[in-house]
Amino acid sequence: MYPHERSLVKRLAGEPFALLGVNSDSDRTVLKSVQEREQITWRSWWDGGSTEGPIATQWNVSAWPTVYVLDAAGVIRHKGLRGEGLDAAVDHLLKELRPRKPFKTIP
Amino acid sequence: MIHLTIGGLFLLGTAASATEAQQTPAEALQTIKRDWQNSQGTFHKDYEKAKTDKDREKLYEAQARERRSCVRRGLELAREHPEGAAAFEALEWIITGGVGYCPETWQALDLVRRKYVSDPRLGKICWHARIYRLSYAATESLLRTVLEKNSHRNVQGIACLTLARVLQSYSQMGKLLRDSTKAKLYAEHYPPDLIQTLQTREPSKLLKEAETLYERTIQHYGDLKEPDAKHTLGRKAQAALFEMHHLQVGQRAPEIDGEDPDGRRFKLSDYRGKVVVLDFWGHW
Repeated sequence: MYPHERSLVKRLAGEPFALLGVNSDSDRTVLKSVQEREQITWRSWWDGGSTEGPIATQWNVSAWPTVYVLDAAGVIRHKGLRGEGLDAAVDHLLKELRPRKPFKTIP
Repeated sequence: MIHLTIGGLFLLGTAASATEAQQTPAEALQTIKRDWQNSQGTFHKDYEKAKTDKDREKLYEAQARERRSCVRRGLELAREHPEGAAAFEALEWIITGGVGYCPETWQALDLVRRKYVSDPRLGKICWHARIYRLSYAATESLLRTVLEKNSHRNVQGIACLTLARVLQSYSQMGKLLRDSTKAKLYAEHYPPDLIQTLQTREPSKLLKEAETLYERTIQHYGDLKEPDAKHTLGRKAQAALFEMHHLQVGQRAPEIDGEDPDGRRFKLSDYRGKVVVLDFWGHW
């Protein structure tokens, strides 16, 4: 998962895109050392040190990783995508954000 | 070296079963568990020493053989001494992952379905039954029977919540199976009778029943807990209903307001205007 996430974040640097994590590790120091070692540059909420933390509980997460894709308005657009499917979905949503070319008007 | 170890594992298995005859069922179960642990220890040591993929493959094969042998011994014990505590413990050990999973695990589940549906100790097994929903076709039937026939409230509660989760998962699976290419692929990996049944069931009806069962969990079993869980069955059922009603594609994501590992607070809404991939993860 990390290499794919790293490349996604790198490829979309400068785009209106963010990868955000909700981390369920038991210890903050573990999370920090993993972030350093694996070059995880994106932010994560630390969910209280348990898989039954407040965020994972509210979102009813029972399998890790669980991935949601949200559009720029904060609407859930996809659940459970990985790999190429995830890349394509994000690209599509970024494309939605770009202003459309105006239609040519016929004089 | 590798070959010697595989031979060693095999001997360990046969030597142990020869002495089991003189042991009490409880002692015999301890012996089986110990043999499995010892073989695991040997496996890990040899795995570190293994140099080629072929060596590793052989070790995995030997481990799988040892697992099946331990599970068979456990099953034999449960069949020969069905009345004692050790029989149930052996089945629980097999089903709840003490030894890992193999085809014989289904036989343990069959045995539970035939003999122990009214047992007060069944909670942990019911909780684990969710793992088998796509590999053991009678999972749903097991949970329904327990919910109907088991008179112990804590067992009923776990069976109720687990059945809700299983039916919700079947509803999702049913939707995927409408795609004939996917259905073909699934039929290769999962029990064909389960896939056939799921194809004929209406996903929305399954989901509706799951919802009713979550509500029933909250109403009747809300204060109880699954083994080793932090939250009550009620809270878990609430969360499942929340996901069903508020975390579907097309709905606005709820706010997340929390701290990073350095204690700096940030919110999901800080990222409005950006496409967000939200990843629930852990390094384990």
